[in-house]
Amino acid sequence: MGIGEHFEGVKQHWARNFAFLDYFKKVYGRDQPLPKWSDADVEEFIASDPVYGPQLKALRESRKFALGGALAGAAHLGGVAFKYSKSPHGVVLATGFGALTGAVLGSEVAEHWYELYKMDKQGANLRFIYWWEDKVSGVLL
Amino acid sequence: VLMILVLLCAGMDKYHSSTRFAPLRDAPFALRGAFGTSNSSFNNMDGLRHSSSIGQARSYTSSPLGALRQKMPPSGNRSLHTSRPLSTPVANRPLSPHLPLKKPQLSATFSISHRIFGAALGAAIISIPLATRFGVMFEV
Repeated sequence: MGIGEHFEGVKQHWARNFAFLDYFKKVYGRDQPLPKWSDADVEEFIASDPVYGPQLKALRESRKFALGGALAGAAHLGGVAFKYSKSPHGVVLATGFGALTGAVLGSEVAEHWYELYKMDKQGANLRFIYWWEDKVSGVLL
Repeated sequence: VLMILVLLCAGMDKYHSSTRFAPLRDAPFALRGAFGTSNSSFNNMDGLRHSSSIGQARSYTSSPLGALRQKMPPSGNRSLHTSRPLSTPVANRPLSPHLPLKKPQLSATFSISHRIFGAALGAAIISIPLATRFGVMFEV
């Protein structure tokens, strides 16, 4: 029937729109989960790959910016709420939202500091996943 | 004199909105002389300067109804909001029940569930770009 073809087209349309989720399937959608990697493994990959290693290193450095920004934002907005309001739930909510906004601001600062807009961030992560896959399967074999 | 005026003003609820512009409406005829003497600006400024040195400063000292405004509020000179540190409890006494008593009506139930749903929906919607932005950083 024509209506079945129509719904197949609708499903294909939304599959194309949500194709970015395939990136997450590489790690989370596996039949058997990959063994968990440690920071030492990541450092080993960064040393081995001349192209994607520095990119991954810059990505990991940007985490510190995001965490620092989150702490600063949480302290600032939570402090303002604590000073002007005596409601405990208000202080908690303000601290949480300040952490969120501060994290976004910190990651934006890192984006421009390390020029992360020039790199393929998902690609750098995937390169590590592929390297880790090969390494793990090589050890098992 | 001031206490009598306070009682008269309290009794005249109908004219409460316009008493500040018609001070002679509710005062008995016999007290008009007293109004005249206490309404002089010299007496008013003395009285108001004294009361402002005690507690709250009044901004409407120059109105012709200064004699009426000199009365002390029932709460005295205490400030309206007392500051209290967050660590001490707000009240060490039992509060009167409000939530267990009021019958949940459709309007109130609708309103609070609308607010809860809106907050949850906002959180869910904003979690998508947040997960995308920070998932790349924190995955590997």
